[in-house]
Amino acid sequence: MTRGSTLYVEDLCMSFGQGPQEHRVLDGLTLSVRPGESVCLVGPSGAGKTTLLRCLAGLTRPTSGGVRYGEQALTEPHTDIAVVSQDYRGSLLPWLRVWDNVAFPLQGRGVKKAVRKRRALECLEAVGLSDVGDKYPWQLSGGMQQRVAIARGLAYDAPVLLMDEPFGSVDAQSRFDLEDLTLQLRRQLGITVVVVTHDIDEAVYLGDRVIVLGGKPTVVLDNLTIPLGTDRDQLTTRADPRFAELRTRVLALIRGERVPAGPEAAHR
Amino acid sequence: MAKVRLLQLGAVVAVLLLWALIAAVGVVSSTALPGPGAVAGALGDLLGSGTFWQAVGETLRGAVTGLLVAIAVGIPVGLLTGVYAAAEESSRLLMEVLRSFPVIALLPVFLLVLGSTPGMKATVVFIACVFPVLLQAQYGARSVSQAVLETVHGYRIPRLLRLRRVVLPAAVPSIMTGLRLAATTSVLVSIGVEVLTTLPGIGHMIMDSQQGGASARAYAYILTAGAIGYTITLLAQFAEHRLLRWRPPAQAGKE
Repeated sequence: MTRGSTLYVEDLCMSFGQGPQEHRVLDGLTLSVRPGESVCLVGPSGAGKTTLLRCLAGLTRPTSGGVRYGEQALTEPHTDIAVVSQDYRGSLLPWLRVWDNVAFPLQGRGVKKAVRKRRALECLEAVGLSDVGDKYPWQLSGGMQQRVAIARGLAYDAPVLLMDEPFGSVDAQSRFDLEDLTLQLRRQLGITVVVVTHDIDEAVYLGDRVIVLGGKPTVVLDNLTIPLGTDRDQLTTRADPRFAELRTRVLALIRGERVPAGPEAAHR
Repeated sequence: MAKVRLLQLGAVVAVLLLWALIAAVGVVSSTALPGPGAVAGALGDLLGSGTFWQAVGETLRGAVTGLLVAIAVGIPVGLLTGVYAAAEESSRLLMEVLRSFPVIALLPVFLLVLGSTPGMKATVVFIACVFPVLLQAQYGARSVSQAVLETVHGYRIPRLLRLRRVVLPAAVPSIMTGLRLAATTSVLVSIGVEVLTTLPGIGHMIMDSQQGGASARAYAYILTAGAIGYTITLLAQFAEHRLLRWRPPAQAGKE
């Protein structure tokens, strides 16, 4: 039950500034994300992960190279792609009630009020917020606001969900809950999920694949398949020896150290 | 809270007493400054008379008509010029020049062009009120955060919907500031035009009473003008409170 098309990033370069001040951030990235896949982009702060995600969302144009969604070049935001940004606090519209925030993108598509409200409340319930629909965003905690931003992404009903450091500023318990929620939604809806994170454990836990970014300027250091199956849970998956091995491997890559390839890590 | 109210009332009573004292001692002649009692009496008489309410109606009609047109023009133009940088840049010089014109100085021109008519009064009010509304709307439209703009862009919100449900609400706090200013200005200018011309209204009645030697009545009209101004401020505060319910309490009333 997968929907949507494959996302292709082809030889993508991104520079800021011009002439002698030109500063290259991303240097020839090539990767792809298949429909229904969960892919984590992991790398140190300042590696240009957010820039890459913005290119995937069609919010920024790369300096050279490009992003394709199926056969279409992505130069503008696409109706098939929903983005949950890092700055969830700033991305919620403070003058709209919570349900209206979630439903607003649907209004842009001309969906009737009753229908979009029902849909918004369903999505809020899916992220564990059943009775806050009539509140304003400031009345919710940070973790709840982040759930609202995720619910908005879900309500948009896009086959592709891009998330930028989605759980960065919530407490550890909420973070685990939101990670499990993401996995569960992906299983249920068959959507493609791309998560940008600097948290290596989170990347390994969430991803079918982890794409490790690093270097100056940033290149793809490695593209690891995570063979932990689709049914994961915080206790057993994180205790799995393969999990430990994979996270060590990613950490070593980011730090630029060599590690012997373990027998269990299926290295592509 | 109750204590504050009591102190506020005390201040009003103190001023009234001072006024009564000055009038009683006779520092100023009673024709220039009648006592509060005489003014209250005159106001009491006026409240029961048709001419008074007619004058109030005339003043309000000019003020409200001009203000409403100023809002209807100022908000959309301000929002559009705020959103589209090119529109703002190309119109900036013109705006700066126009808003710097003292309207009352232009009164003779309007008298000549439009004649001494209620329409002229409303026009002068409009010109005085449109700039505070327009400039505050423009400023407010530019205050939409980058994060919100990006979200709205990412979810492909159409232009008109964006203007109505993103830019406008974001600009409301700032628009309300302009509106409060414009509302008081509207009554001020309306009365000013009546004083300077022969148009009916409170301003005209103040002049008329004073020239007729009924200074208590003139002061009663002046107090009425003050009461109207105060009522408008209260209404604006109420509207602001209603429109900005979405704001967290700590932020409310900061603008």
